[in-house]
Amino acid sequence: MKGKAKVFRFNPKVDKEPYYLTYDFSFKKGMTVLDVLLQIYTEQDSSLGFKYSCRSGHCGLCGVKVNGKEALMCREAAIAEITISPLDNILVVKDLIVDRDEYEKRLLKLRLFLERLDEPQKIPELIDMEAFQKFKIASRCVECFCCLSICPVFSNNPHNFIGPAAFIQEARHLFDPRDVLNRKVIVSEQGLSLCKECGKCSSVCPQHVSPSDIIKEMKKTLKVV
Amino acid sequence: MYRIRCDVLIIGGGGAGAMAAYEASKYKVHVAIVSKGRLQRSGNTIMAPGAIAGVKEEWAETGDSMELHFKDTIKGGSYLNEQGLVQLVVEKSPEVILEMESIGALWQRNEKGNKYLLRIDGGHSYPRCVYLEDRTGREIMRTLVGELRKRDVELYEEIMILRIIHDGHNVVGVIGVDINTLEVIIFESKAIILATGGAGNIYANTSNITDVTGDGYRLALYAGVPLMDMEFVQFYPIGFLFPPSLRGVLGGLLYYSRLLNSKKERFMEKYDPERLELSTRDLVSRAIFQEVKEGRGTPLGGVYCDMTFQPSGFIAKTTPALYDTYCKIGINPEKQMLEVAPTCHFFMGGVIIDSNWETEIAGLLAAGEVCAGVHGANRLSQNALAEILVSGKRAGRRGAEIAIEKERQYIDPKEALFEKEKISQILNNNNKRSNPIILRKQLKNLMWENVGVFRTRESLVKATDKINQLQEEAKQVSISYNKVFYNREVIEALENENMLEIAKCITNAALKRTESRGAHYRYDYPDSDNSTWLKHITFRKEDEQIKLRYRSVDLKIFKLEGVDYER
Repeated sequence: MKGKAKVFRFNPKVDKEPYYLTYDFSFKKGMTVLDVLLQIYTEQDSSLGFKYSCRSGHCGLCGVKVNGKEALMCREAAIAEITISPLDNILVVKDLIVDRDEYEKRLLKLRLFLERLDEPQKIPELIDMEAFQKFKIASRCVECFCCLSICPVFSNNPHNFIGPAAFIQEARHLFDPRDVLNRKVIVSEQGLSLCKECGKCSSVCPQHVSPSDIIKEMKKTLKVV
Repeated sequence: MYRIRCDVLIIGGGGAGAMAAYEASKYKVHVAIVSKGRLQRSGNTIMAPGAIAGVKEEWAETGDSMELHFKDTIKGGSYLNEQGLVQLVVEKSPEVILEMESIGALWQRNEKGNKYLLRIDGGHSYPRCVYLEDRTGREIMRTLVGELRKRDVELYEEIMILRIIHDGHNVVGVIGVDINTLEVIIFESKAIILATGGAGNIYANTSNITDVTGDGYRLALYAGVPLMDMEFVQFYPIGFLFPPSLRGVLGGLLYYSRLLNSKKERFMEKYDPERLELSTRDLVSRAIFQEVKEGRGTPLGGVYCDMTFQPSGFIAKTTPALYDTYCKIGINPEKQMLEVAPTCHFFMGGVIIDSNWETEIAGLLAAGEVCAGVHGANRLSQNALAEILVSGKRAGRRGAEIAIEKERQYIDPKEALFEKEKISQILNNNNKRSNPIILRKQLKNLMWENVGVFRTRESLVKATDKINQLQEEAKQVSISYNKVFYNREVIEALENENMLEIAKCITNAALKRTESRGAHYRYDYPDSDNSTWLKHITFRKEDEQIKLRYRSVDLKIFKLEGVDYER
């Protein structure tokens, strides 16, 4: 069956304005959006800019908007008529590739490592399993930026609010029962309290991490209002 | 062009590279990682769903021991392992398992939180492997990247290394290219650690991440460092068959699955009645292809992976990432079976290293899958994560020691002219004769069909001829998009050179080895021949030629019964 893919194109080195190009592709039920793009890249247009590496939801590189909704290309089933555009709220580097450097730079302020005072006493170390559970879920995030793209607070106020993805990275350490760092100062500075808990991030999270619930839990734990 | 200087440079940002960088940073030297992809978004470690094998009194089951882990590994490797290296991995693995936890990771525990839950998998005598959900590798990366941030290790991401520079004895640096801008970069470093992983992408079906293209093998080979055991390529028995982009990605975990043919027979009962699906990976892979060959395959040319017997909710709880993938492709694993087939997973062969993971060239080390020796002719499950951590740690420490003793050398910018010219040639060649995307597809299919799970003299000769032909074509490479900014085709063309060289080594060695051993199976020589073939095949570049030679195996500790070692 013939499919039509409308793909966002923008090369800031050449183009004044972004535009969409429409490609025909051979559609098969069950194929993913990544399959569509790979087909276009290998058979029609190798100038198409997109990033992916693991093909199965681990690398977080292939976040885009598919028919207006945030998704990972490797995880999203394609349909015959499809529009693919880059994520919102993040600088487009080329076509569907968004800038990760800015985010990485901001992450450095979050002290995303275990800060502990003493070495483990027992082998294995005794761990509070309720805390472990929270640690585990926050650790599932692959930083695909789908949540950043849909977040209204980040969209309006990116300088004062670091966004859901980064807070989830912080949550791993906050919920880690071994960690001793005062993380309240860090998250307050990055605008945790600005989150309105609208739940939009949770609706698009490909890893089902539910960032808004985790942020709620962080606020509760740290007594941030 | 620009220039970067450091003391210890690690090429590759997967688990082995990150571990090496973390360890080296403990010794007050300037450490940097250069990686073709971004950290946590490239390299195979982030995809590893398995576990880390390691035996320690505090968590071992009654009867298990380091010695048994050692023996299991040697048996799994069909006695082709370098036993000294195996001993190091087995001994040091429990230490790194604990070190990972002390710096941030957490492994799965019982309800009280005071005892590790352990996994068993093919070839292991006891459950001895710690894990976290089905993303143990990602947990390792997450933990190490945290430490790298804390320790200000410099990261140079999205740069592909094209050549190692040395003065005949000492390594001096490397030349790389920014994959997004095609700018050429010189790195000057006192010690260099190769941690580039394997080359899964030379096969049509692979579980590997897209950027694993054998770069380190060719870098080492062209620097004059020998490779060995290249014919031993592991095929993981159960990879997805559909949709195309998911083809080859690990489709499930064998310890939670039963494999059935189209007649719904649990066929492993025929091939290995005792261990069934938990037999070694080579045996299960061959069994699957045998079933397909004899007409008992599924519509997509594989077998069924059955998880329906598991209690309700079990798959979602124990393997959440996989469960999610099943749902996305419309399979309910509690009710339906998944079609699977073997997929290229791991390279046992690689760079020859000593017990410090140093190569023949002073200051050049290697860690992780790019090295040969630990796994012999076939790797046991869960030994890869143990290897990357142990080898990364040893290479990192040794690299730092070397850097402390040495002066950094200057690299003349003229050195980079070769790479600059090569890239501009690829960009500007308009003959339209050989497209890198098409060439790669041809190579992948060729290797899959002729140098895969089953090999014969005929298939290997055919592959050799065709690879030579493709190598000639690759010299005339011509791309359809010739802008420098984010040009994926140019990078594919550069990677193809590595892939072709390695495909050639694999095929040559496989043709030479007229026996079957571990993951190398010759249909025309189905048995192992210990009297002739208990030895390694090596490749070394001398005077512009790749020379094939033999090398003896380290059998000091665990001898194979019934073999006359004096011969």
